[in-house]
Amino acid sequence: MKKMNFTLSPLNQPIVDCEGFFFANNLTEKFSGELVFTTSMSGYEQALTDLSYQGQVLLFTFPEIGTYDIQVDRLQALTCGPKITIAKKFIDPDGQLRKFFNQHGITAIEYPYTRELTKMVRKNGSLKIQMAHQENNNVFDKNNVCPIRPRNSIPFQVPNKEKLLVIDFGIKESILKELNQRKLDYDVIHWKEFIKVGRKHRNKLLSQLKGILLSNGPGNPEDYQEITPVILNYINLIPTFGICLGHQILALSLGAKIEKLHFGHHGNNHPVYSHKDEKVYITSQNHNYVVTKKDLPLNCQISFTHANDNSIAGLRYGPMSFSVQFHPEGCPGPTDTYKFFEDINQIIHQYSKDKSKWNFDTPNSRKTPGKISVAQSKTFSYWGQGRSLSVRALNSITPRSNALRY
Amino acid sequence: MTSEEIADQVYFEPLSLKSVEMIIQNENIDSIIYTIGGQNALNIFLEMVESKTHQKYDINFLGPSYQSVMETESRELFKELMLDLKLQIAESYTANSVNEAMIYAEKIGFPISIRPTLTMGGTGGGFAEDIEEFDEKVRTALDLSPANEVLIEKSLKGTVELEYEMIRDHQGTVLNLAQLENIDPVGIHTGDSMVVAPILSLDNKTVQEMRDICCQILNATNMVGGCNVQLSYDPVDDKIYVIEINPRLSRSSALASKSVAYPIAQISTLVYLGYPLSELLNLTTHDSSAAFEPSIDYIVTKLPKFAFDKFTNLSEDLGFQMKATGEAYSFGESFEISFLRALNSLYFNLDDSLLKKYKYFSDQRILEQLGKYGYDRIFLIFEAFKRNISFEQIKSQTKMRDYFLNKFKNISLNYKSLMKQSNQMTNLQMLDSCSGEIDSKTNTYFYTEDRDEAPQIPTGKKSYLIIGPGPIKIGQGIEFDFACTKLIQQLRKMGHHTIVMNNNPSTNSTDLEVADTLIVAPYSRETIVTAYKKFNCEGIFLTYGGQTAFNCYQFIKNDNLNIVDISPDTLNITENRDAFYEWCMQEDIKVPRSKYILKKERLKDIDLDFPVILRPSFVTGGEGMIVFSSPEELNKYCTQNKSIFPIYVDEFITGIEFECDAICDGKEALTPFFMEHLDPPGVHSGDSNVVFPSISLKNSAKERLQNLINHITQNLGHKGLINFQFVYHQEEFYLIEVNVRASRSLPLYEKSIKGSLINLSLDVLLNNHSIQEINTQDLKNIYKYNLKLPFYSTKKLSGILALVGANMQSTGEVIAQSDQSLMETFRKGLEMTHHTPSSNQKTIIVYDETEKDELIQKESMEKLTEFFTFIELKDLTYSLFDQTDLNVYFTLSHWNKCLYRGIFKPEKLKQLRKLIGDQNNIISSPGLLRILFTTMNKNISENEASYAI
Repeated sequence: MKKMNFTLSPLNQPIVDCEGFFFANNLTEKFSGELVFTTSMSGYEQALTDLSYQGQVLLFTFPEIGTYDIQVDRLQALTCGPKITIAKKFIDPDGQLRKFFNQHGITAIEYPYTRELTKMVRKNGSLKIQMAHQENNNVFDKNNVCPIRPRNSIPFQVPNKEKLLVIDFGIKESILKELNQRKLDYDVIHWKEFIKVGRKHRNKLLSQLKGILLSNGPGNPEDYQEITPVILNYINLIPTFGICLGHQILALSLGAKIEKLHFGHHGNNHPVYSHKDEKVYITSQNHNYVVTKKDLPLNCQISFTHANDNSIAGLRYGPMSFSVQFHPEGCPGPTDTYKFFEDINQIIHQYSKDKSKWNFDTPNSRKTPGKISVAQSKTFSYWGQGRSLSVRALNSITPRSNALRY
Repeated sequence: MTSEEIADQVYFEPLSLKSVEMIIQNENIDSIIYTIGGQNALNIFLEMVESKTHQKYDINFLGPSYQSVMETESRELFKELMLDLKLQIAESYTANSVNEAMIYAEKIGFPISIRPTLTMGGTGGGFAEDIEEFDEKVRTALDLSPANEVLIEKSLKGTVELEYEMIRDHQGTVLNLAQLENIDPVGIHTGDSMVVAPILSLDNKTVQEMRDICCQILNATNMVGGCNVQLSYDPVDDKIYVIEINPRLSRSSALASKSVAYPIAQISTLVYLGYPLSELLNLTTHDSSAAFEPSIDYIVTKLPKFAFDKFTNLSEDLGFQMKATGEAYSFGESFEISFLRALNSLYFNLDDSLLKKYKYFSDQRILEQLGKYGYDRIFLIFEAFKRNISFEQIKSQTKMRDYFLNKFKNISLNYKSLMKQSNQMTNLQMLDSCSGEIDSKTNTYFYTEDRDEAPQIPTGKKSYLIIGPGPIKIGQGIEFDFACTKLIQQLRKMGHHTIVMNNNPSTNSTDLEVADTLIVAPYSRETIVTAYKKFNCEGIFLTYGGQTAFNCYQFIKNDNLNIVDISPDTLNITENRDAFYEWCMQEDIKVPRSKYILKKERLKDIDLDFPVILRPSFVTGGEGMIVFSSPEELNKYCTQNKSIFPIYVDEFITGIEFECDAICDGKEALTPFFMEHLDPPGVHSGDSNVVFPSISLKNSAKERLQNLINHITQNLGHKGLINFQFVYHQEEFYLIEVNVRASRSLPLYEKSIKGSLINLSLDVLLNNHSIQEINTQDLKNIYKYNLKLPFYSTKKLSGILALVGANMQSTGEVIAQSDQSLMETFRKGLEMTHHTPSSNQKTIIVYDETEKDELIQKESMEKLTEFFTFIELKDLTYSLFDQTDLNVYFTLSHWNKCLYRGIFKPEKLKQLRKLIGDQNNIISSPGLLRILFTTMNKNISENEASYAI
């Protein structure tokens, strides 16, 4: 195998030279990006086609990648997520894995010290990795999101019948699959297009749509600032939902702050604590940013908390809108939280049955939480408001508040 | 488990409801945990609820409810539940009679699997391909099931078998702590299977679907605590089947716990107590929640250890019944390394000779054997790939997944270089349960090619390396793990840093909390020396881990390491039979005469008195030891087995056998008491019934023995633990064995005296204390009467009769203690070994007419008729020398309901069978008889027994 040199630039520390081996080389130009690691032990083909990884280099902590055949029907996008991936060993007895890498333009590098890399990321937080070239430019700290291409080139038409509108920031196929499975009628719109359409046809869309779902996507939500005023015009007027980046953008629209996690959450084993059920679900997560707990607007109520670091993992925005930081569709990852889609289904069905019953708050009265009738709140199961109606009380509940130390 | 340092109060009682009730009364118990002690404990719980005993004492059950347990344990309820949840299971029916079973069999169609309900380790289960086989197996299964219930089921043979380790709390949080994939397909008991973690050959969708199924089941049954779900995946039609659920911690839990560094038993206990998982702290990271799913960045392999090398007449084909006696586990960054390490741990000193055996097989034979699932299938696979037998052919025979076969192919073709690679790694990686994501702290490490993570030894601390016992095999069981664990604890108490090397997942010494640092690795010169140098060790302990650890001396004797507990000079004498014999002659110590025979031609030179015993040097558990009563027999045997040379032939001495463990300081030896074997010499000491302190020795005899052991130690110059075995023969004590290491009987001492021999031995070894300085108060025994009785797996290992002899056969032992009388102790012991007389089952004692005058008196027999039935037979002498009849005994194996002790002539067995009927247990052992009648006749005072010496 051909040798492959790359460098690591930890913050405020000297550059580290590394040597790995090309398993598949599709590198056409110099590349630099953030190194992130996933602790998933299976689902490599899904991670490698997850667009949320765009602009990053994906490191697998599991030492053997490719232990089972690629499941073509479970890929998350037609293009690659991360352009470059690193693992200890790629297993490829029949050449199919290499073919997959070449088809998707992924560069795969075998590197023997992946655990050390993981620990470097853990220690340094952001770790810039630069491929093939030794020169050091600092593009990394700037906006490094690769543009997500629209899924189809036909301009968006306001639908004639009631539909769910999915705003695409780099959506995973599995999310759409889950919607399909629940027979939810939806249209997908690229986020840039939504900025235009959403402004222009606000009233038409409000009356015609059953709801909006903001998808996952790569990068820092603050890079998508231009969409937030548009979103604000829809939240709580129609059911609004978000996953991962979509969740962050929803919170951002309502005035919440975003912060960067030390090195992010990437993997299949992330525990989230549901305040409603008082129990923990295991989720698939893939993000570097979270909604800040401090100064959380009053109309954002915490519904899920990450059980390890107490960061926000889910929010409610009144009776018919909610979003989650994790990936309820799993893929790869557990299916503990499939209920997210069932709740979307339930809410938009009730909403479209009788819109007048819903007690909307107007954009002007955003500072107070929406009124919730008890009868209604029962219908949204555990995505509801938790035990206490007081937002402050909710925020102060953290798992392990009386953790046993022994 | 039974150490006083772990529990506040330890009871050695039969595992029965009766004993539990007694303890409840004694200790004023208010809650019981019953899901950690395996199937035995769970059965007592069920019995307790069914008899409503718990209501009488207002007992609070911590763990899953009776309903939850029954839903998983009762096949009918389980089936209903699966139907409710719309989950797939193999079509199955429960039957209570053979006729009923036949009707269902026609419905399902062959092949069919058969299992009795409520038995452990799949006892009595099996596959049937046709109606005849079916009939036979159903009958056995019905007999074995306590509920007289048998499950017949469509066979899933050949599909992928998986195990999910789950935990659920009262709140409903469900976690999947570990996923294990069996390399062997369904049809081979998981205990006998080669296992890896995590799941490697299945894609994420299937893995998650199965996880989801497990969560569903746990929620539906309202399960609480650790729990294990077995599933099967059929790749042909992409279907998942649920096989079974264990509502308790199981054999796999220990492996899972130690593979992912998640303390399952501890967290389970807290969950039983009512804590929600979300409020518990992760004991590995100390910073995050216990409610998480471990992720690992290495591959775990578990391989079973079989006793086929000992039970040569045992059917070697694996199946539904678990046959493994132990297991080894290992870690590696690739499957190849991980697997080779496990293999190395299993076959100590693995070399090409294991592979050579298959060189002369024809291709045809190899393929045939592969389809049979023998215990040695892995070597057959290696050989098959070496010969270029096609991948497809191997696959269709082994039913293994492509991933594993590809890896085996790689191992087979690059055996030497991979082996070298796995041995040469010097860096250590820590098991952290989170793939490096969170800063963690555990004690477990393995050798890696990644960067070194070896822990720093706290300054001012001395570090010691301890070699653990390795995989359990017969003759070398959990007792050496006990010794190691005690040693580690005491060393830590003395302020030292302990580094343990071991590769057995089901031991205490590999626990996440026992040692300061644990290295999971096979034993080789490289692994040991690297660890020693890396931690700058002060010394290494080899003798506490039993023979396997002891044998490591061969690897490292030239490496100039400080071996604390072995002196080469002593070893030269004790481990070399020739030198030992010479030495004994010189020191005027009486020993059986011995002869070293290099080759067959020299056999005629033997000038010993027959009977003789044949044994090789460096053995455990009497491997290959055989007794011969005449030169002709010996000649015949040696002609048939030419490859056994060189051998040692010793005179075989009859009499009463005594044993003792002692500590010595190089000048004198100190022992708390002598143990007395109740079985004659020639019965392996591991199989003997033992009473301690001895009942036959007068004070004067004890003095004689004490002088003898002092004399020996002084001349050997040995320091530390030592084990002696003597035979009293014609007014003389003959020394038959000296072991300069922890012995099998050491735990018996530890559990019956106030102090600890192990602790005292460290005083001598590390603090240079002399015997004179030791507080003898510590050596006082707690109970007046102690008995050790062996436990045989005759029901499990079909085809074996517990035929006692020089070769050790028992797989476990019990200790019975009491202050009241020896008789009481004996009864307890019998109950523990399941000789319990019940209403429809009687324990029958058979004796020979010649024993009547010597041992048995009428009045004593009358006193015992309450418990036993006595049958007198003519010509029932124990024939220790009847090797020629062995094969006949084995063919009688279908009588596996009775526990034979002692040896009968075959025709006697038939006669007995007729007399006794099928329902009853037979006990016969000279030892048992001796103790029974000595104790009955007199109230033995300490130094006056009927056999006083």
